[in-house]
Parts: sequence; C-alpha cells; structure tokens
Amino acid sequence: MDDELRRTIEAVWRLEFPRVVAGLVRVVRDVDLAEQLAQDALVAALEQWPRDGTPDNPGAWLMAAARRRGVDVVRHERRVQHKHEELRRDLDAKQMAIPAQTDGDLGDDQLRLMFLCCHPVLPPESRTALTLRLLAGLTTDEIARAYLVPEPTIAQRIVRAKRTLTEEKIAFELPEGDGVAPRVASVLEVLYLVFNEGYAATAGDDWMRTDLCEEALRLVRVLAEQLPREAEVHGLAALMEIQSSRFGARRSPMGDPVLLLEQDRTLWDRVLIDRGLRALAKAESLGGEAGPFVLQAAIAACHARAVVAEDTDWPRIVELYGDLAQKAPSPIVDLNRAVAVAMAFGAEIGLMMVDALARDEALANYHLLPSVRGELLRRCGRVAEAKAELERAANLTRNPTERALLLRRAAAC
Amino acid sequence: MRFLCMHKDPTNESMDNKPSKELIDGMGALIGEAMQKGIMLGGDGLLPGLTRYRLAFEKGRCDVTKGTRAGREEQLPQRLVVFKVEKPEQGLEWAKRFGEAVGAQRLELGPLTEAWDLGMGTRPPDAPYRFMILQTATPEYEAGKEPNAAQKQGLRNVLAEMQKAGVLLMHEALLPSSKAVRLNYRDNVRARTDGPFTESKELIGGFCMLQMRSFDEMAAWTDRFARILGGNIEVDLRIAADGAGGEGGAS
Repeated sequence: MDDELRRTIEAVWRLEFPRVVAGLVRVVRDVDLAEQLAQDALVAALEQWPRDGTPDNPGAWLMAAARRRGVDVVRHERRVQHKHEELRRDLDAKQMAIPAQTDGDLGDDQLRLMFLCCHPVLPPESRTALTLRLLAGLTTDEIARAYLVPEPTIAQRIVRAKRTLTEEKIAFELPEGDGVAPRVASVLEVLYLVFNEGYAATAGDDWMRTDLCEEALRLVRVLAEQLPREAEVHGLAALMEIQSSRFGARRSPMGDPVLLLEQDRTLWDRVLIDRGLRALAKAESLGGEAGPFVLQAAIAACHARAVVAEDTDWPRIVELYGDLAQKAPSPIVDLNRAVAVAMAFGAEIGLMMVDALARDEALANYHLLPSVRGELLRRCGRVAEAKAELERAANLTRNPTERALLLRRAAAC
Repeated sequence: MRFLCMHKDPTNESMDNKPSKELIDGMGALIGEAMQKGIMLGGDGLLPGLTRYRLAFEKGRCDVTKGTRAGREEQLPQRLVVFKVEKPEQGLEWAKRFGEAVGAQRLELGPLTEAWDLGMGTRPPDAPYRFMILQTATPEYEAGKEPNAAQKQGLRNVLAEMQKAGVLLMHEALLPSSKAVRLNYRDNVRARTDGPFTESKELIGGFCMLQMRSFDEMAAWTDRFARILGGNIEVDLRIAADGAGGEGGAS
C-alpha cells in the first residue's frame, strides 16, 4: 500500500476514533472492549480500502465495521450464556439495522461516553486521562508528554479507570431528571482542568500544551451541541474561546508574560472572540440565574469587547465579580473584585478592600495579594510601601519569570 | 492547529453558475458534521473573479483594476482579512488603507458570497457588505522573512482602526507556502504536492477554516470536501500563523 493512503486511513481513523468508540460502548457496554474493537476497525480499513477504494463517508464506514464486530462479539458472549435465540431476535431487531449514513443516536453516544469518562466515581486524574484517551483520541504517550509524567503512569491510570467502571458496575444509561446536573458539572470540571493545564503551562512540551487547550475547547463545543439548553456548558465554552483568543498576545517576543491590560489587542484572535461572544449570548438567552462559568465568561467578554484597555467596562466587571463571589465564594474572586473596584472607582477604595482581604488566612502566602497591593499603593503615591510589597510578592512566587517581572516593577517604583 | 482549506475555482468567469441543490446539501452536511465534532471555525466563498479588484502599490501610488481572471498571475496569499461595511464602495477604501498601512505590494479585494447570491432569499435592506482582502505573497515573505518594524506597526494601527470602526471580522496571517500542501483532485483521485509552490494560476474560490492536528487529517477531510465539489479541483492547505501579527511565529 502506498504511504499516503496508509497515512490517510490512519488520519481518518484518528478523526473518527471518539465517535466510533462512543457508538461501540452502547453496543458492547464495555469501554475497554470498545477501544479494542475500534482498533480492529482500523485494521479492517487498512486491509480493505486499498483494495476496494476509500468509501465516500469513511467515518460511517468505520462506525459500521466496528459495530458489526461489536454485535458479533456480544452475540458470541450471549451464545455462550445459552441465550442465543432470545438474543438473536433482540439484536437483529435493535442493532443490526446499521444506517447507511451516520446514526441518529450519535449525539447520545458521545454524551454517554463523556459522562462515563468523567464519572464521579473515578479520581480526578483518571477522569482527565480517560477523557483525553477516549474522547480526544490522544495516545497515552501524548497525554504523558502533556502532563510531564512517565507514560506508564498514564497507561496505569487508564487501565485502573476502566477497571473501576466495570467493578463499580457503572450504569451506561444516560442520567435523567435530577441526575443530569451533577454529571454535567463533572464533565465541565474535567474539561476546565484540562484547559487550565494547557493554559497555565510554564514548562514542558509547549506543543502538547496547546493541544490540551485545543482538545478541551473542541470537547466543550461538542458538549454544547449535545446539550443546547445547559447555560453553564455554553458559559464554559465562551470562557475557553475568549481565553484562547489571547494566546498570541500573552507573551512578548522575548517570551515574557504580558499582563492582560498591556497586551496588544490587535493580536487577539477575532474568530475565537466572536465564537466566545456568541456562546455567551446563547447562555444568557437561556435565562435563569447565571452560574460561575457564565459569570466568568461575562467578565472575559468585557475585556474582549474593549478595543483598547481604556474602554473596559470596569463597573460592569465589579458587578459580575460581586455575583461570582456570591455563587462561588473565594478570596481570589474577592481580590479580583478589589482590582476591578480600583479600576472603576479609584485606587484608594480598591486598596481598602485589599487591606481587608489581607487579614484572610487563606491568602497569607499568596503572591498575588502583595503584588496587587503593591500596585495599588504605587498608584496612591505611597512609593516606599509599594516597593516593599512588590518585593514581598517576588519572594512568595515560585515562578522565576513572574519573580523577575515583580522585581522589575519594584525597582521601577 | 488552525488550517485553512482554500479551494480554487475553475468556473470563476461567470456569475450564472449557481450551485446545485445537491452540492449545497452535501456541503451543509459536511459542515454540520465538522461543527458536531467541534472543529469547524469558519469559512466563506468569494464571488467570481470579475467582481474582484486588484490593487497594486508602487511609489506611493495605488493602481486599481477591476476583474481578475484566472491564468494571469500567481495567486498565493500571505494574509486574509474579512471585513464588513455599510456601502459597497467603502470596501475599496478600506483595502487601499490596509495596503498602504502594511506596505503591501499587491492585494486582491473580493466580495464574499452571501446566501442570496446562491439563490436563497433576497438581500435584507440593512445587510452589510462583506469583503475579503487577500494580500499577495512577496518573495521576502515566502523566504520566511519577518515584516519590518514599520510594516508591523502599520498592521497594528490599521487593525486597531478597523476594530474601532467595527468593521473587522477576521484576520489571519498564513505561514509561507513552504509550510503548505497543495492537493490536486482528478476524478476524486488526490495528488499531493508539498510546498513551496511556484505556480498556480487558478483563482481562489473561498476557504474553510478548521481546527485539526495534522496535514494528514486535513487532507482526509478535504477528500470529502472535494468530492462534493465534483472531484476535479485544486485545493491549497495553509496553516494560520500563531498570533495574528506574527507570521513565521509558529513552526
């Protein structure tokens, strides 16, 4: 077989892998077996396509081939269980009718697999590993490089996660009613973790880190297609689109981090901003009280809408941080709110709020507190105190680039 | 990674070639599938060459010619800008301003295909006019040379100006054609050529923008795209530069 054809077949398989696995899980009710059968479908394609030609819809072909194998396997197992007759009727009626095109249940299949991979019974690191393996189709080696851990560690996590799903007899059915919300929340949490892992990266294989963000973004878009009535799903999609839009602007040509308000906004990605704003509008159109992701997206959108930093609607951001502090109270949200207050109503009042926060134990060793306080002191003209605070912040951070930046700011006071 | 699939349009001379219902349905299904997969980022078609303008900048002058025909000159862009204006004549004004600001030697300006151009509905009275600027590649750009400081600053200024005016819809700098792939389909059989490219005299008919992980994935998707368009077509696959201003930034 010529090399180009083999590469095309492998690329198609990689593109379709998550959907093929998702479709198989419904038939065979076993994540591990589904993954193996998806591999078998690749082998079948590598055998048949060079001989018979590439099908018009390669994804549908892979899906049909994999499902036929899946049905065979299930039938065989059931036959062993002496339930042959009963099963044949059942399977023939339900599952042998393989549609020519894609499948009406495709969305359900993907959702089912997402809920499974992010099931609360699994520890968080297993959820992310399983999600990246089965839903993003990354190899264990790629996941290991992204997380800077040895490959066997990731492989182990995946094996254990699959075993847990089997042993705990986790239901493959889609949750209903009150059961839906916590499962959706769990998926959103996993996708947000994956995204932040890529976004906050300061070390490691940068290429793979960007991949993490792209895959998380892709999966949240898929989820939003499947759950169009869930505002928080659109909220997280909006948040990730807008944060991704700043990738090109958040490092200087020398590689130093550039603060949001100092970024060259012509480097922001219009395509992702527009997608983010549309997703936010969809979330807001669904009504109801805004959840934490919708609120964070709304804050990100205030920045995205401002063509220059001076145009930022700070009073609106103050309001949104206030709502967020109620929905998801955290001293970090309070600190951000204080910054917004300083921008909207003056450094003095912002400083008062930060001083109140400084009494909070939770922020005692958090470098952003003295960093913010130092900046506000500087703006109030209290230069000596500002310098001391910024130096204190520099001592608290473990990130060398950040430390250098803080020391530069201290020296400039 | 962000890829652009830019198809050439061999039937570019005529305004009367409305796409068949079959083609529109097929393309709709393919795009719908890409959206379901979360990889579709955007795309647009260009109206035929006779509606386009070519702007040539030399010694502070800008020569405008209307009507671009296939077979005349190399059509290889280094940058795409999509924008919207209230009146059609403002398209040319922005294109001139853009070309001057970035120190372009040549660019093409073309109106985008709207639903009503394909026979679906009529133009709403308040609909904006959308245009695409294709800044033509220069040898320096193709050699991977960064724009000079004045060109970079000019780009920043004009993009900020377009944003402030609320006209900017998209800006993509592309990596040079040495990091591109050209696919030529004859009866649905694909021939792949890796860049850099020296010659192609067909006009660009439009673009699709997708989030993909490799040229192989992109080519596999383009096979289906080309099949829907009749299976005899040339397509360039380009990579969007990382960060709007920094071509050559991504490697």
